[in-house]
This record gives sequence, structure tokens and C-alpha cells, in this order.
Amino acid sequence: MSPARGEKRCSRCGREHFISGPDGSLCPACRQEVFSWRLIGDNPRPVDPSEREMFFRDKPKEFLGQPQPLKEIWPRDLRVVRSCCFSCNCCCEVLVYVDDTGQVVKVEGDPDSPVTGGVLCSKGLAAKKLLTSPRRIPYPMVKRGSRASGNWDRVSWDEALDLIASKLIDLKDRYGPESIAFLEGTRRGWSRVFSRLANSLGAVNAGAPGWAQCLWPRLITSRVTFGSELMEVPDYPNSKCILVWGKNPPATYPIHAREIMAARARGAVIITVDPVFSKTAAKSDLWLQLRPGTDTALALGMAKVIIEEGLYDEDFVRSWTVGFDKLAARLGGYSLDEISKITWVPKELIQEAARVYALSRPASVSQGVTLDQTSNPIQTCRSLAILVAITGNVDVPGGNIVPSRRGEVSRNAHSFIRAESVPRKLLEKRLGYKEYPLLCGELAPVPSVHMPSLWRAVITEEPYPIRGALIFGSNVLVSYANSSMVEQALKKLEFIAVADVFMTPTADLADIIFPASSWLERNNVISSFQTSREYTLVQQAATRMGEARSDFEIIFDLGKRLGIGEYFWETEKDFLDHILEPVGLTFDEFTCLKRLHVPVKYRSYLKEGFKTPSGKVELYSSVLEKNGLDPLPSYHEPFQSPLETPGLAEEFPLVLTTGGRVPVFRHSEFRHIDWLRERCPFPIVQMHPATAKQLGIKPGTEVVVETPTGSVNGIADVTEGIHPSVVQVTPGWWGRGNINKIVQNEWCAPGIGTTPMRGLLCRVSRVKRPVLLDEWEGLG
Amino acid sequence: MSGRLKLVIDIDRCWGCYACEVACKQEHDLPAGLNPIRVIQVGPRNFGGKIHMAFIPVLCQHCYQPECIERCLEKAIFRTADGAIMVDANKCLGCGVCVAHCPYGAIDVDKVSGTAVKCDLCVERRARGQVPSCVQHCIGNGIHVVDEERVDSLCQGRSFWETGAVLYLSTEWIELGKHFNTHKGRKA
Repeated sequence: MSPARGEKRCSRCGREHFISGPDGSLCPACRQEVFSWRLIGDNPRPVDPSEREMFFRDKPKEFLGQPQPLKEIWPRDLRVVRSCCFSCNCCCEVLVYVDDTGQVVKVEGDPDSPVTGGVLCSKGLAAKKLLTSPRRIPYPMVKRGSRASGNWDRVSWDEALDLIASKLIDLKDRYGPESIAFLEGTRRGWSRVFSRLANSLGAVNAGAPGWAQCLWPRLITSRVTFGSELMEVPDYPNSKCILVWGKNPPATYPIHAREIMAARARGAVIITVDPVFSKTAAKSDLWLQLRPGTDTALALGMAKVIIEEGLYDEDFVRSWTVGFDKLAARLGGYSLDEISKITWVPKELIQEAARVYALSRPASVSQGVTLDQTSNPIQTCRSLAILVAITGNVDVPGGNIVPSRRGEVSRNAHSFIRAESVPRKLLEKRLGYKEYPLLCGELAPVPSVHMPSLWRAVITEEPYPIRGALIFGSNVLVSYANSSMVEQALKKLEFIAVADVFMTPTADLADIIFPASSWLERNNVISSFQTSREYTLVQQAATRMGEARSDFEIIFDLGKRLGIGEYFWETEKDFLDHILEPVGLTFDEFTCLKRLHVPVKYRSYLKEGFKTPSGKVELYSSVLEKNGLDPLPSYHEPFQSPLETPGLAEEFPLVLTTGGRVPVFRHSEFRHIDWLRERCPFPIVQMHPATAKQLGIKPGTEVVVETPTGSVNGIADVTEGIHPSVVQVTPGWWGRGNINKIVQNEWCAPGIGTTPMRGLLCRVSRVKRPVLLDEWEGLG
Repeated sequence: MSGRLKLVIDIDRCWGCYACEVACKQEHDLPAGLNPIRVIQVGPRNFGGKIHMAFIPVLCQHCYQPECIERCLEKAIFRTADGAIMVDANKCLGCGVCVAHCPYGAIDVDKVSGTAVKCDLCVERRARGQVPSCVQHCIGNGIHVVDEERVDSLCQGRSFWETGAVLYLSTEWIELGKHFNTHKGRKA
């Protein structure tokens, strides 16, 4: 075509691009970057008003076109379906535009929504690609020949379900219900129905990768301390100070990010605790760069400052807490210098953060998954709960508040998941039941099996054999610590059935797979206390792809075939009608109503007290004491660390954290969506320039991270926003970038059985012969 | 009301979450690789003993003195009455001269359709009475479309930067700019 076309290379990044300009040829991406640096580097420059006018003055009229009329622009007749995004747990209200052929054209935020105000994150905006991905499972399939063969036969839904049911019944009869593992992934709306299925069948070995590792420690400690999920619900709009702990909301909780930004613009102080200079830290007034895994020490240090300087809320502490004196005595045993040495945070900074948090009332704590992944997550979460309690930021406007209930049937209740129906004899067979009472017993939101014990039992057949697995919406090979062990265990199983939206490596291993629906094809009633705390929202199916069926209906049909049909419903809508029954609505009526709303009631404890054994906030926890755990918060050094295991630290000198979430992915999902993948094409290994220089690593080259458990590859990202002794690897990838290959699952946290993922030891080295960047696997 | 638009981008409010990028691609149904709006990360870098990081959404500035319009051989790039610069897909041959001359890297050629692609300030959405997609979906609420006459009041007491219909605003970077003079391209 034009003479400008030809193979050229960008003079800055060296990438090929097909057009070069007269100025020596930067590719568009580099030019944008140079512009950004220039923009903030220059001193502000007011534009000469005449410059603004010039264009309009000089040009002839015909250049000034008018916007085209609407009809020509958008000729197709679009239907708008009001729904609720479930690309992550945020539950943002969306409008789905569907054309007359049933294709989803657009997914946008709902500007009417009081929850989001119309925003939507990159994951939600790319949701229509979930429907057309070539990796979708098209129809139920049964494997022919050996597991590794990959030969799939198409079968009908009835055949597939009959086959699974007969297989599960066979296993149950031969080895007992405990021989079947019920595994699920992250919460997706149907999760608790799956737990109901497991409990109704007596399959006690049911679990998910995220329960001990994510949310359960936070919820359990919040319940034993306050009697409610208070710690999970910060009241951002009224807060004067927000303490963001181990969390990066713009990447993981977009709605929280929106509210934090609004609070910041209003003048609220933001304090971020993160070992890496995250996007949140960049917008914070104070950034505490701690050593990964030492969160408990830092929180206790802050509590110590608050108590010793008399900054705590004396009235609240006197009337509404128990165990303050014991707490003060315990904290008196720690010295601030020692804590500063442990956490690497300067003493002055700990004091400043404590003073700012305690004195700017009301203040809220926004806590993230980091707290659940230390070496003693119960104590970590407890120490933060205690910060909230002693400053009196409990259920007050701007503090952490008790979520409201709208009155529909709670799917999180133990009665709904039928946890009580499991006979005691079976319960005692649950792997980890004795060692991890908080995870496997009734304190857990969903009593679960201890996963590392399960994998061990599969491999060793001790104390009894595990023969089969029913897996819903989980990429097991990627999601559990020590992936090589998990792979070995999975391959040993006699029977695996997988329901998933996409073909994953786990689905590849299965004997039967069936296609589940994405959130765009599902009806649901969503009530999430973490985000839309005052609202219950509606999710409506916008379209249907191939033979995919809602997980609800798959589970109901399976229940019927397993002979426990009386606990389930006929259709998805019957079930949702049941959920809405107490509020006097049917699902169809609810779709017209759009959302249920009950305003937050502050200071509900004045009337009802706290739902703890003492009726007060338990700084000294009687429940933890009963379960054989420390009733007062205490600091434990990470099980591997330069201080705890100096010998190991000589061999593995760097401290590893597996944080580093990116905005475009969630867990192991979305790697196959090109719009998102182009933003983060590889797993990233972040390190300090000094470390990189010492190890001879250049930015953008492939490196290998090793721990005593294994090794993982990634691309080096050299950044000043990290401590020279710390390395951060992004999780969620599979293949060579699967972080879980280097996380051990031998040592587990007391009481809850968490495998620590913050503050491990590792070493990093160059990869001599890197694989071409284009060939990175991990399409998910 | 002058009727001319101003896209005001508050750098202090940009989280770097990339929602605007995907929103734009969805709205214009673009393949991966084309980013009419792209968020650039600046930093983290140590300036004056404190570490800093900013995110800057870069898009077509709808310049007051646009090179692309002047250079286009086919006269396929034009400005509308409200100030947005647009590409006429019927005239564009995809030769790439505009790509080579845009100082912001904000225009690129779609190799499939063979035409230049750039921000049109969501002309379709505005015709339907909606705001541009990046404006609606910005998690930090940092992008706004305002009438040009309101701009002066928004800029008061803050640092700002403009060469066209896009105006960057910031408070925090005023002080920081002193440490930053690594690029001597422009004069104050």
C-alpha cells in the first residue's frame, strides 16, 4: 500500500512494528510511555486560549461534522437484561445487551446501581468473551481408553448423569461415602448447594482450596471475637481513616477501590500494609512495608502503642469487652524495638500508624487474603480484630459494621448446607477432624476436610482409601499447595468427574466432564455481605451457550439420581423461589423489583449485645481457649524464615510472598481471554534492582524461583517498590508458572490447617535457556 | 455552553486497574492489541527519599493542532463540532502515516479492517445520551466529560496539562515534578 509500510523496529523496545515515523520510530506503545513520563515530569503548563480557538477558526465548515443519528449507529434491536456480574465475588450490577439471535453484544455497569454507580472492572467488561471462548466444554463427554489418551466421546446429559450417579453409588457402597472427595472452587453462588449435596450424601471429605487459605480464618476470628462477620464489612463512606491490610482493592475488589478512592478524595487517611508498593500503597498516606508473614507482630505492635499511649476507647473497652487487662499484660511482654526488628518496619512508623488509626475516629480496617495465609492465620486475624475492638470502631458509622440481613433464606447457615445431618460417626472420619477443629468442626462457616491430609490419604490409603472425586468449578491441579503431590493423588483416583465452564488441565484428567454455565447463563439471587452489604441483587440468565447447564440444575439432577432428591428442587427457579420465600417474593417478581434493600443498623449491640459466649467483645476468647488455641493474640515467627530457620535461610536467602494479584485475572481464571491476557501475558517475579543486579538478572528475562519443595518459572519484573530481600510471585498460572509447585503442604497452621503462603524462603536464579515468550502455557 | 467537550482525567484518581482499556475495546469491538486508551505505569521510583508511582491513561488528545489531520493523505481524519477528532472509515486506507506522526502513540491501524483506530470520545454512546465508556467504568471515578466552560473552575489550585480536548489534572504531582526533570522535551 503506502511507502510507510515495511518491517521496522522500535528504537526503544526493539519490537517489530510496521510503521515508522520521521522522528526515528518509536512504536505506539513506547510513544505513549514516553508521553506519560513527560507529562508528569513537566511543570504544569497552562494552554494559551488562542491555541484552543485556532483549529475552529482556521478550518472550513465542512470539517465540522455532526454526530450521526442513533438509528444508523446501532441498527440491531437489542434486549437489555439486568443482571449481576459474578466474574469475581464483588457482585456488581450490570446491564447485558443481547441481540435478537441471543448473542451477548455488551456487558456494562448499571448506572442506576446504588452499589457500583455504574462502574465495572476489566474482568466484568470482558465477560462476553466467556461465552465464545474456544476452550468452553461444549457438551457432556466421557473418556474412552486411558486417562492420558484424551479421547472424548460425546454423551447426552442423561447418560452422563446416570453414569456418575451409578459410579458414586458404587463407590459409596463399596468403601463408604467418605471415599468420595467433593471438591469445589471459589464461591460462585451455587457453592452451598454443592455442600448440601455432599452433606446429604454423607461425603464428609468435601472441601475447596480457598477455605482454610482464604476467608475462613477471617470469618471465624471475627465471629469468636464479635459474634458476627463485622471485620469483613468496613463502612468506607463514613470513615476518616482506612487501614488497608494485605489487600490490593483495585486488583481484587474493584467496588472497595471505588469507595476507598471516594473516601480519599473526601480527605480520609489511607494506611496500607503491604510488603510491596502496590497500587493501593501508591495512593496511601502511609505505607508500612513489612516482612511477609509478620503481620501479627505489626498489628500487636500497633495495639501496644494504642494501649500504652492511652489512645484506646476507654468507654467501649470498659462496657463492652472482656479480657482487656490480660491483653494489656500480654502486649506488655512485647517490646516495640523487637517488633520493629521482626517486621522491618521502623519503630516511628509503627507508632505513627497506630496513632493515626486510633485518633482519626471513626476508622475502618479493610483486610485481605494475606491474613489467612500466614503461619498462624487465626492469631493474625485476631490481632487485627483486637485493633478494631480497642479503638471502639465497632458497628459505628465509619467503623467496621455488622452486615444487614434482608430476610431471604441464608445459604450460609449450617441448616441450609445440612451440616447437622451428618452422623457423628462419619464426621469423625473426616480427615483432619481432630487436628483442625476450626476448619473441620462446627465453628467453620462450611465444615470442610483438611485438604493436605486428603491428598496424603489418597496417596498412602491411610487411614482409609479415597477412590473418587466429584469436582465442581475447580482447577484442582493449580489451586492447591504442592501441585506435584496433588497431581500424583489425582492420577491415583479411580474415578473423577468434573463440571466446569472451560477445559482445564484438571478436566483433561477426568473420566467424565460436563459443561457448566458461566454467570451470564445463570439465574441467581445474590447477597454478598462483603460488598453489596445492604442489598440483595438479582442475576438473570442472558443467554445460553451450547448444552451448558446451570450448576444448580446439575446438582439437583445428581441429587435425584443419588436417591437424596427430597433435599433438592426441580429447577433453578423453584430453588430461587424457596430462597426468596421468607420475604414473600418469587424469583420472577424479584427480577422486576431488581434489588432488596435493608439499611444498615448501626450499634445493634446496644440492644442485642454481641453473639459471643459472654455477650461482649471477647479480647480474651473463650471459644479459642475451648478449642485448645491461645485465647490471646500472640506472635509466631513464620515456620520458615531467616530468624526461625537460619540454616535453611543460608541456602534459600530470599523471603517469598505469593501475593501480587493483577486486576485482569481472578485466581486461575481468564488467562484465555485475549483482552485481559495482553495486559499480563506471563507470571511475574518481582524483585528489587539491587537483588537483580547481584543475581545477574535483567528485567523481562525468565527466572526460576526455587524452594525446598520445587521450582517455578516467571518473568523478572525489577521494581524499587519491594524490599531487596523479598521476592513476590504472581499466583494462578499453571504449567511452568504454577506457584503452587513451590508451596509445601507438610507444615500446617495450628487449629485451622492453613498452608502458609506468606514469608516462605526461596532463591532466584537466571534461566539459561529460556522458552520463547510466545510459548508460555497457562491458557485458562 | 460552548458545546465543545473536554475529557478531564484526574491522574490522582487513577488506580491503574485497566477497566477503561477493556471498556474501550468492548465498546468499539476491537481485537486484542489495539488500545485506543492505555494506562501507563510510571514508577515506582524513589524521589526525594519517598517512593512514588502514578498511572496515566494515554489516549488521543484531540489536539488543537493535530498532526494526524494535516498529514492524512486521504483527508479521512476530521474534527466534529464538539471537538472530537474522528476517522472516516470509508475514506481511510490504513496507510499509517497518522500512526507515524501522532506524538502520543494514540492512533493505530487495525490490521483486520485496514483502517486507523482511535478514540472518538464514544460518539455513538453520546448520541444515545450516555457518557463515554471509559468515563462510566472508571473505578477511581477519575475521568469526566465536561463542557469546556467548566474547565477553568476544575483546574483551580491544581496542576494541569493539555494540548487538546483531553486535560490531565493532578495535585500530588506538582511538588513531585521538581524531582522529575529527566525529560527536557518541553519548557515550562
